Amino acid sequence: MNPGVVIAVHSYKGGTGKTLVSMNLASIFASQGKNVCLVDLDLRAPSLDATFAADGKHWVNDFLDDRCEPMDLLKDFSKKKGTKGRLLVALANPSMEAIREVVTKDRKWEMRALRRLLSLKELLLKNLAVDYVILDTSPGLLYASINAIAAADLALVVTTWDASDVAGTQGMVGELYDLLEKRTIVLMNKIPEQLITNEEMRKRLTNQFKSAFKLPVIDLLPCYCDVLRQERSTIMALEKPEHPFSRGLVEIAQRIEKTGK
Amino acid sequence: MEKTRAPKPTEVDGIGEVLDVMTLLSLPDHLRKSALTIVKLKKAMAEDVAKETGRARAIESAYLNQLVRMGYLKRVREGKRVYFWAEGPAKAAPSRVSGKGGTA
Repeated sequence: MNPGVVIAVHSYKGGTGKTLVSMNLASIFASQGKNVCLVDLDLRAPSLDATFAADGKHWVNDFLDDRCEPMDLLKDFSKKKGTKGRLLVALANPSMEAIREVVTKDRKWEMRALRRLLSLKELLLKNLAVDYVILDTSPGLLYASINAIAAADLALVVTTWDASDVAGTQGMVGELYDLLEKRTIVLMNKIPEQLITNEEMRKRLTNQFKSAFKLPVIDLLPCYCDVLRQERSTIMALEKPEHPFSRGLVEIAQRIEKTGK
Repeated sequence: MEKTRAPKPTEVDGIGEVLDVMTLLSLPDHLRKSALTIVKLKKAMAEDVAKETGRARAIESAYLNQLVRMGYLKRVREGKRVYFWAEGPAKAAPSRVSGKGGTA
């Protein structure tokens, strides 16, 4: 049986680095020979199309709306990105019209969307032997994000050092991840470098966050200005694998792999 | 001449409230567990849900029936078996579990 894992990458606030983490993790797993599917579920502000330009006519929106089949949706980027394993990508429609349509959906539609998402999970893990499905979500408590968390096996919460972000994440641990019985890990991103100049400081800070969230903190990633300056089309892990950001994410990928399903 | 009796239509209970994720989050813990399991299994008997949740079948049956009364689940009897699911006609929701007998 394929022990594939579905990871929902989520956060309380926007701009924490979810998309950057999602696409780099997906690329790392694929470059290690794993079969990966990266799904853009940030339907209100899609951004993966800037990195994975595809000329397909079908979007995640169409699939959730029952207007296309999953195989119409999945684009294989393994050749283009030179990965050993398959790197399948499902993009959300970035047009204003599509975003307007998404915000008007009702509860019944969202319930069906969860069904569709669960059927996509089954197809990817069972029929296509995908090892990792990475769902890049919208921040906060939006339907699409909660659907993604409900469908996932693991929630990877990306949070920053910002006090309101930490407080919001603490709230979501109790009111969302715990209630949906999801295994959850936290990735602290954009930490000021001067706070983690040595291993002892890093350990102390990690323990502080562990007790604040009452969850395993998987790692602290410093804020790298040059990463933020990169063009959206750059996948750091593939193009600059020696960069500390890429190496940090390789370690995170290893830890996720060890934790398993 | 022998009369042929038309098959009795299967009666479906449940008033069709929407069991979306926001509703799931607002349910009390004991009912949320059962409802989440039904979402995962698609269509299942109390026995199947009990296997997943680790609770007694009779307890699970009571919770599932409570969710039917609240309108969040639908219920249908097929012979001795009673199935629960969250939306759509019973026939359209294939079961992911292969139960052997048992009632709700």
